[in-house]
Amino acid sequence: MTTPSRRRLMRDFKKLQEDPPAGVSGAPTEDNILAWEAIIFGPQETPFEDGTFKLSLEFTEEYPNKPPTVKFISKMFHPNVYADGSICLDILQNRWSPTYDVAAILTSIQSLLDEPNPNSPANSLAAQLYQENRREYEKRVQQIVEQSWLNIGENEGDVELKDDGGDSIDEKAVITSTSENADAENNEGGASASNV
Amino acid sequence: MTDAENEIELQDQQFKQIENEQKMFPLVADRLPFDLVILDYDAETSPDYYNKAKELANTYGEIRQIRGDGNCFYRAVFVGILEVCMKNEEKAKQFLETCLGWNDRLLKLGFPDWTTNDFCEVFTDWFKKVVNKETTSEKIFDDLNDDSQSNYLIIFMRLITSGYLKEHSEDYAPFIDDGRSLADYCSTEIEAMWKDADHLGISGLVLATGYNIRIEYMDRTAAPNGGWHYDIPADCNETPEISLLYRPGHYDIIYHK
Repeated sequence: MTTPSRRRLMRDFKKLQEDPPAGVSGAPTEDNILAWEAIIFGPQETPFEDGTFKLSLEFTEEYPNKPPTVKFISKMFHPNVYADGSICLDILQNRWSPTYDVAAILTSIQSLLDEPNPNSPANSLAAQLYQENRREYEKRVQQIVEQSWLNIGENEGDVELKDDGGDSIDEKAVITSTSENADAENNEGGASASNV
Repeated sequence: MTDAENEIELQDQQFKQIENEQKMFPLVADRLPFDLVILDYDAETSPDYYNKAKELANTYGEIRQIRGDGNCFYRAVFVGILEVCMKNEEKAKQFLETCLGWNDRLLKLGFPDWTTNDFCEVFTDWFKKVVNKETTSEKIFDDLNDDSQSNYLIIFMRLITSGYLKEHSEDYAPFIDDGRSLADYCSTEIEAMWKDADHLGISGLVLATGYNIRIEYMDRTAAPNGGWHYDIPADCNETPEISLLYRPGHYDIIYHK
């Protein structure tokens, strides 16, 4: 049965494919429309540039009444990201609105990368370095940017690290593999949605 | 974990517990005899409430309880409107027109187009089946008691409430007392699920839907007309078709004898 949340997630996915915001992508995982993987590219001209950060989004049947649980899978060094990858971002907590969709969530997280809020630190070292020692902060960020390329490869069973920041190749592989599966489900969702 | 994290964790657990307790109660219960309300109060220990309940029982024969999840006002009014529309095809068509019109009105106000269209479409598609009698009363109440279905429809009610307040921002902005903008207030108090409706929410929903309501107050305040009720809007000429019972923090639907 297509519930409104599943139907809405299929539409979120369709929109992400048809009208993709710059620097983010996401897709449901193979057999579960409620579990998504996404990738956020580090915004250009910021210390996060060239990073390809992987995230997981877990939705419930209460989406979009309730926000998904969003976590970085890639290692992150950021004032508002906890050690387990959870993100401290108002729109994912008390300022959530049902009018946000997946694209809005991902682009908000992308802008959070270079616009941290040091007043609600989730990683106190990152918050401290961000305010007091920007050089060291950027060095740490550079480390996780490099690790992000490695993680993408590992997750695809390809441990070989591309030497030229070849993140785009592996990255595409992740997206293509997930979107094919989601397409199949998409048709299913579309068929039942028309019965509503 | 730090103290702050512990505290958040504890809070989350408490919210979860409250939520689970709420979910034991149906979103929209069946119509039951109003006398049940009298049974809630003891003549000895809370005579004020007991007497008010007795008095209301002269006018009202039934009550339909609504789950107390912060959406009760929106849900109660929505169910009240549906019941009117299920009995009166002309009014059903009229309400469908109002709802269809809200799609453009919301977009004009700058609501994000894609998600707004989705909420409007889901709502109007669902409501069209009520208008065209392509559904049964049983199915309607099944949907209303399915958390996911029901709440999707409630968001539409919240969006048009917010829309109405924004269309009349000059009238409503002065009532927001903590220095917030109307847009900010609407996004955190009206559009956000599970937030109780205050007087702005009440007025916004009534005017956005075009359905006047009467609220009977079971708290200790006496209404200006000598009885216990307020009609909204205050200057409406006819007795509203929808009556709600307010008990501190909560609304249910009540039905005239």
